[in-house]
Amino acid sequence: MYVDVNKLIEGYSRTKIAKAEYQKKTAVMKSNVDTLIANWQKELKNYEKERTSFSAGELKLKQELLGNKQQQITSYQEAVQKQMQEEDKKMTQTLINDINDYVKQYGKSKGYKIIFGASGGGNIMYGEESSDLTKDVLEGLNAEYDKK
Amino acid sequence: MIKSSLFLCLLSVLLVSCNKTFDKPQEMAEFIADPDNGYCYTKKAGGVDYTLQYRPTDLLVEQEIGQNPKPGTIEQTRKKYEKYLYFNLSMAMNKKELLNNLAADKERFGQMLSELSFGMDQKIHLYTATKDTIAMSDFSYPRMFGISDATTILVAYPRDEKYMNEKYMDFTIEDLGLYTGEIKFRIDMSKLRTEPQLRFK
Repeated sequence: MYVDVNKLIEGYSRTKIAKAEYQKKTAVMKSNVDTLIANWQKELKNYEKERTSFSAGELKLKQELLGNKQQQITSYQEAVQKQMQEEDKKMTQTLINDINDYVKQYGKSKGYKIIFGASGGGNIMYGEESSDLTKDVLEGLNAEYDKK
Repeated sequence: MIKSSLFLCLLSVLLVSCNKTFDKPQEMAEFIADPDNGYCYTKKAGGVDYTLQYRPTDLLVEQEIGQNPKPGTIEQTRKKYEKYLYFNLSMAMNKKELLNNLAADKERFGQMLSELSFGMDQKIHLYTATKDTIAMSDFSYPRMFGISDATTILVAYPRDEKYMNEKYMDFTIEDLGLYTGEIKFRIDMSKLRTEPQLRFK
């Protein structure tokens, strides 16, 4: 007996909710970065426009300021990307935990000795249709999650 | 024949639903710690060992008044503790407290310390099968400064008859930044309804 883990993740109701939450969070983070970049580009444009009117000292100071700001934006961008990756990792692990818990519970209640998890990695190359529990497990998993 | 088998059946139902009693708290603690008895749940995720253990009322009563209490104090203390459901949640990484594993990272250490001390009511949830969340009454995180082999938190929830008759309740712990994902323990409520008791002298 086996289940297709990818199909379970894809079809699980919580995946859709978690993904929507994640996308909402990342959209906010991305828009913050975009605003910072847009402001910096504006400053750069102004600098290029007015550079002929600056003294050598002013020019150096302005360049340093713009350089520092660019560096800060890059660090912020990296931090945001890292945070997004971490959130994604946490979310995926939560979904996998839920599926593992449910498959365990399902196997126990149905009296199966073993349920394999096919994940496209080649661990199950062929399985007769009657051995595929994915549909049944997915229905149960969603029924439990959607219970209200 | 039918009568005797009916009697046997009734007797077995009664025996199963009766509360188990113990003379010594150590015996009860050992019984509780055995996952087969339905009061202790364990799980491993992302290198973190989670153990959730229910703390029966009498174990807490004994802790406060001892084995030979003054007359009247048992019921009085039982009344005080039976208003809540107490759970011990232990989390260990490499058989050490969680904070020990983050000692090299100042920022994460500080973050986790503040979460364990003040934010666990936002990270731990208890809810019914129909997703009714029960608000946590309180939690306590005694900092052990590395001398313990796990981070242990005592969590209390109100013992409300409304959900005591549920088949099960889900106890979840959000990811604490260790990439474990959310951890869920399904608590068999029939075990809590017939929790073990101590025979006080």
